[in-house]
Amino acid sequence: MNRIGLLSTLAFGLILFGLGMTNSGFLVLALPLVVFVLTGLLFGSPHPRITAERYLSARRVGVGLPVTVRITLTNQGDKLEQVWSSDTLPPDLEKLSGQTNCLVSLEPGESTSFEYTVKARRGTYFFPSLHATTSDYLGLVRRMIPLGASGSIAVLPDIRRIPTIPIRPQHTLGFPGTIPARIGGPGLTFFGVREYQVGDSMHQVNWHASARHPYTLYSNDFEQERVADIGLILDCRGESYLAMAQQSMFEYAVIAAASLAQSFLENGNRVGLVQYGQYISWTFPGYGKIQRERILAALAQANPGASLVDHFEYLPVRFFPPRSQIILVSPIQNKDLEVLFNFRARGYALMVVSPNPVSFELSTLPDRTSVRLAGRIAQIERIVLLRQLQQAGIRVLDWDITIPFEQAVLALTRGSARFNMGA
Amino acid sequence: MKLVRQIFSLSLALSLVSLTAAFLGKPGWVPILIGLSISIQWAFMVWNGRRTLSFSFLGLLALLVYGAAIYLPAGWLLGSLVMLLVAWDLSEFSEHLVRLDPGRVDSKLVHHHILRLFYVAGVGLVLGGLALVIKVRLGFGIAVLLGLSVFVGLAGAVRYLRRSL
Repeated sequence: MNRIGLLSTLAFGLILFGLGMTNSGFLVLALPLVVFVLTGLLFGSPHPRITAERYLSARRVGVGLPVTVRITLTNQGDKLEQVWSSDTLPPDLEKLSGQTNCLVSLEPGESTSFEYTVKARRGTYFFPSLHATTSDYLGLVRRMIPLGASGSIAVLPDIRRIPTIPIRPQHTLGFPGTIPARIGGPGLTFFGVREYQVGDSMHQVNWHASARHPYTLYSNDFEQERVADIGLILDCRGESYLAMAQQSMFEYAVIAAASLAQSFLENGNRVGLVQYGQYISWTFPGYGKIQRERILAALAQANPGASLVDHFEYLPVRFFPPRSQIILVSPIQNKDLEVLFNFRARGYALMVVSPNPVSFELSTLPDRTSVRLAGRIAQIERIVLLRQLQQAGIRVLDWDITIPFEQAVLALTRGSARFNMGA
Repeated sequence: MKLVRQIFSLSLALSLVSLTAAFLGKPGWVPILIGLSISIQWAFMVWNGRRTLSFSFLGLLALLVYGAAIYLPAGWLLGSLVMLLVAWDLSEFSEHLVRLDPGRVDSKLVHHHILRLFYVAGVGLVLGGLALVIKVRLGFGIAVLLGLSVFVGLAGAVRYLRRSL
């Protein structure tokens, strides 16, 4: 309850009683209360003017890196006897050191600041607008002033530098890149032999073929290398992921998606991202560093959630250009197979990067014979599932999350999928 | 922080002593025991950093009002009320300081607060003391006029309260 209101009510009540009962004792008791009320009215600042600034040492950081938040309050009006301000920390943000509030007196033009250091897990965190409460020293007349100065921090997913993954989609774009385009032209890889054309370099002439055909020269043709459209799909269905011992397997999927996006964008490809879970979030395809930022910002906010549909049936295929490369990051469930086969049937080059839920769960369980046996059975089931994908021409990276992602990707660069039999 | 709590405890004890002195012998020990239990509970809450929500203050004030209604010595009641106001203010100030992060308490601000509080309590005590000494006879008309002004003031206070909440 407002203090001056309470005191005023009590004071007037006592005076009223005193007059009504003709008892001077009540009037005497009312006097100290009246003095308090008058003091509040006398010293309470009528129009406090305060500005606030929020300084963040970084707006985008990696997981676990500290961010310093400093808030500076400046008094733009008359003297303020008491100013209270407190910053509300978003949930899941861990305070490492410093102060999140202050109680000070401010002379005209004087500034004060308080700062604290926080760290957080992956995500986007919004600091709400600040408020300050001004009052006299006794806190009798309090006024709350909105100060603005909201802010946000994006904690980006961990990105691993992975080797270039060789892919061969049927359709490539017009710009030169690193992906074999299945078209002859300038390049490095031998593609075929054709009749000599004016302008061909002498080094290109295939002398062996030319020797067998008198009066005709033949040149070596090389395979063009171009950039391609790559659609990343991140499975955000809550049911796909295990979460044990305050660790979620979804984090591994996000790391994989971020690392893949970075790798393909660095090679000049056009990359888009679809998050498929509670809702469908689409990051439109694009090139370069700006696109990298867009994708990382989207991944920073990614969260697994209860999906309206329990399989990939409603995945918006039309987002991806025909015959382009699609990379699905998902632990994969049995019911997903059919939809993935359909993708393949439509001509998409499909790759599945699958964080292994069995090895994840085993890493959190005690090392017992029964657990090891159960783990082996689960691994065999998973291998059978993934083999079905491979038989449909889908490349699979079964990522045992106990080894780093960059190391797991080496298996793909050698052209074979990796299967682990578990413990 | 400790200084604030110590002064709070001292003022609460003085208020209780004045209250006891006022009630001593007249209506029995019951009001004194009630005052004592409220004070102990209030002090316990303040020292443990819990919110008091002014209920203890209102409880002790009710005892003072009761004392005034049965014509107990107004001097003791006045002293008790002034000390009670000091204790109430410091208990709320202490709650405010508890919400601050450790190491952020500005000792200058605390001293200013306590100094202002002593000035206000002192003025209240002096004015109350003067009111005890000075005797004014009021006619019926003036009493009605004062009553009306109190009504207007009370209405204003309630309006202010509703606006600020």
